[in-house]
Amino acid sequence: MFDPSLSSALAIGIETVINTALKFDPGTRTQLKALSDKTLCFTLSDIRLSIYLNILEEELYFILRQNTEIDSDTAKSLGPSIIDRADNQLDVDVKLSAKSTQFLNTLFDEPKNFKSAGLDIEGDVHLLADFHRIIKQLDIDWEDALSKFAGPHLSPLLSIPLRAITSKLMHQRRNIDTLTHFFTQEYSLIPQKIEFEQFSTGIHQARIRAERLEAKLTQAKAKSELNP
Amino acid sequence: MDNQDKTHFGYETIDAGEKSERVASVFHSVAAKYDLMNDLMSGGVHRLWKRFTIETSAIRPKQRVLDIAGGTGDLTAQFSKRVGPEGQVILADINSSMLNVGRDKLINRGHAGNIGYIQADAQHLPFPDNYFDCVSIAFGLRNVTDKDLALRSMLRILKPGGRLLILEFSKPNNPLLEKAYDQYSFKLLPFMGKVITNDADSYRYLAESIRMHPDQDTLKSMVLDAGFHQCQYYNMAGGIVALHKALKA
Repeated sequence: MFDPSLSSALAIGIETVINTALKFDPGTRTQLKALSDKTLCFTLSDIRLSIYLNILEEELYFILRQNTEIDSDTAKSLGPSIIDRADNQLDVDVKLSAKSTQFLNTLFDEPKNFKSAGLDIEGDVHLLADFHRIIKQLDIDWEDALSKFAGPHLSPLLSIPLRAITSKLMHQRRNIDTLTHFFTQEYSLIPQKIEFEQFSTGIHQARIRAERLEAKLTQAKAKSELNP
Repeated sequence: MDNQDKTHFGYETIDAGEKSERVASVFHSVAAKYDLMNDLMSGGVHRLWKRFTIETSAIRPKQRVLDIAGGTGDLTAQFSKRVGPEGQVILADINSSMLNVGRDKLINRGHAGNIGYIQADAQHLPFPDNYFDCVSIAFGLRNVTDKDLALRSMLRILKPGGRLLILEFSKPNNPLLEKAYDQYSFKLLPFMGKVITNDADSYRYLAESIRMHPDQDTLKSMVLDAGFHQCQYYNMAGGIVALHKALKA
């Protein structure tokens, strides 16, 4: 059986790299703070791996979990409510599920919508779009990061290849932009809360006017019957 | 415990009333170099076991956690970050030397504000009913004289839906690994204890106490018998260490 401490080791490695890099991007850290205590889950369905990304203050915490199936005998012994609690022990705000190849394809191809991209999203789509927007604006000060090791004169030179790598990755921004575009496209179709409230108020007022009109008609009808 | 009057201290059978004193003596002796020895004995891997424990806790900001036998505060430090300034973590340990080392370490590292410290016995926890969202005990349960009493005490102070996490040495699930582990435990550990802390006996007790501790399924039964609802365990390092997680209904 898979040793869970290995996944913890991997998570610690990823966190250390990312949080260390984030120390040199105070702007991104400040924006992440607004999403504190939110959890995103990326489920790679083909390899049965879930990656939980928890935003806590200005840092990111990762949990990697292998998704195992519960056999029917165990399920019966545990009972449905217990399984729900076990499955939901990590509360997520938004869950993105797809095969690993589909996740990669969204970076390099140009999908038309969620369905054609093979992405299944549950939960707070706004959170996903906000997180995407923040990551898009990532701007790590590599010179500052390297100056502690290489000094103020060498660090600008050494930061050049790192910037090149980052910009190469961000060249995929075209596809990240596409992803953001159809996130915004999709959730622009979902009414905002205030729009829905205005709509509900309009419906309510229309119903009141209709009832008033009906009452007036009934009154007028009654009058006409009394005075033919 | 074998009967009401006797218990084990490693491989030695002693009076039940004597165990806590003998265990106290061990931890007074090892407290100053406890963290160093943990790193040396496990090659630093104990940090991964504790990290997995934190992940399994699913603790959220503003929650309240009790870290029993918290010793030098490894779990407490992590819980403190996760519960945030509006949450609370209580580090409890029956041993004053370990508690002092833990408190000094946490304060020196800047962990303050949401951490409280208490010298307490796991068998008689001095907290109200339904008080904590999570109770953890890492590498401490095997030192408790009456484990059933301690488990019932932990159940009482947990909120309904709260989680109990028991991280402890357990039984390897591979015979070859078990043999290698025996050699390591009974030959190398006391030698390291002698060299680093000049106390081979304490580390011999460590190895013996691990062998006397219930295995994974026995501990799971004990947890369920104490009144917990649902208990599952995760083996790590081939079963050398196990994390038991249980819920209070």
